[in-house]
Amino acid sequence: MTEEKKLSCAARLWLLFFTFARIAALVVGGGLAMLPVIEEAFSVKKKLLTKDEILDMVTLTQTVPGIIAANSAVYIGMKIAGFMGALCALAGAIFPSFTVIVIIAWLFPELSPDNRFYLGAFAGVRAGVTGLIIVTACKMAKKGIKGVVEAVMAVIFLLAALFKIHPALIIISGMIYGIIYTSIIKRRLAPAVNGGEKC
Amino acid sequence: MLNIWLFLTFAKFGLLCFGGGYMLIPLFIAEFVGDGKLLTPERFGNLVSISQVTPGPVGINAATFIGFIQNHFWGALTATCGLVFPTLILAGFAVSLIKRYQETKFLKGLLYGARLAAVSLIGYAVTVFLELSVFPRGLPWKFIASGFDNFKVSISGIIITGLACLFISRFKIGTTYIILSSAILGALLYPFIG
Repeated sequence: MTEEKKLSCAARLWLLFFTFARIAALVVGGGLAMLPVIEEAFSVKKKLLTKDEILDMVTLTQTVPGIIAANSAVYIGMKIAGFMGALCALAGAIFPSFTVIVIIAWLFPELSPDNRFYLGAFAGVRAGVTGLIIVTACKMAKKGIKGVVEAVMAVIFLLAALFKIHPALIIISGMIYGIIYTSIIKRRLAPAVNGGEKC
Repeated sequence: MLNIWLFLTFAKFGLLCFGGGYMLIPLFIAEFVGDGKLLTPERFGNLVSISQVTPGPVGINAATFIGFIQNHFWGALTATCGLVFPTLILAGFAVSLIKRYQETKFLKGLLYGARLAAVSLIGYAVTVFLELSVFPRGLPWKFIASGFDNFKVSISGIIITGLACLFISRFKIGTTYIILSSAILGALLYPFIG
C-alpha cells in the first residue's frame, strides 16, 4: 500500500514539473497568457482541480506579489502535492526560460551587433516592445483608474517616478495611501451609506 | 555584486512586483540602468526584447539575463531563485489564508494603492522606452528650456511603435508575431530612414 502511495506522489510531482515546464516553454508572452492554458491542463484534461479552485487561483495571482506564472505554479503545486509540489511546479515554470536565456547570454552577452541591419532589427524590436508596453499601460490604467481621485493620485505617482524617486518607495507609499483611503477617508465621506453595518 | 546581494535584490523585486512581470521593468530600470550602473538604456532595451521573444515569463527571462551578466551561471541561478523566493513563501501561505482575509479593508486598501502605484510606474516605463525608440536624444519636455535645436525624432521608431500599438490593440495579434515583424521592419527601415 505504502509503496503504491509513494509512487503516485512521485508521479504527481513529475506531472507538476513537466506540465509547468511544457506550458512555460510553449506560451510566449508572459504570465497572463498562461492562465487559460493552465486551466486547460489541470482542470479540463487531468481533472485535478475544480472550476472554483481555478477561480481562486486567478484571485491569488492578482493578490500576492510576484510573477503571475510563479504564483499560479505555487498555488497549483500546493493544492495537488503540498510544499514539495509547489517547489516542483515552480522549478518547472522556471526551467525552460532559465536554460534558453543562459545559453543566449553565454553566446551574446553584449547584445550589441555591429552589422547595421542587425542593429536595425534590434531597434525595430525595441520599438515593437515600446508599443507592447504602451498597450499594457493603457489596459492597466483603464482597470485601475476609475475616478478623479485615482487619476490625481496616478499623476502624482508618475511625477514622483519621473523625478527619480525609487519605485519601491512609490509602491510602499501607494500601499499606505490605499489603506488610509479605504479605511478612513472613504468611510468619512460616506457615513450614511455604511452607517447601518459596522465591521 | 556578491551573490547574496544579488539574491536579496531580486527577492526585493519579487516582493514589490504587484500585478505581474511588467512591474519589474521600472524596478530594473531604477536599479540597473543609467550612468555608472550595470546596463546602458540601449542594452537594457535589447535585453527586454530578447526576454519577450524567448519562451517563458518575461520577468524570469530578464532576471536570468541580468544575473548572468553579473555573475555568470551562478548569478543567473541566484537572481532567478531570489525573484521567485518571496512568491514561494507568500503564495504558499496564501493558499490556505486567502479566503479568510480576501474581504478585509486592510488587504483591499493595500491592493488598491499598490495597483494605483503600479499603473503610474508602467507609465514611467513607457517614457523610458519612448526615449529608447522614438526620441533618441530625449523626451520633448527636456528641450523646453534649451530650445528644440537638438531635438530629434526617429521616423522608423514612430512607424513601428504606432503599428505595434494598432495591431496589438485593434487586431489582437500575438506578441511573437509583433516582435518578429518589428525585427524585419526595423532591419528594412532603420538603415535607410533612421
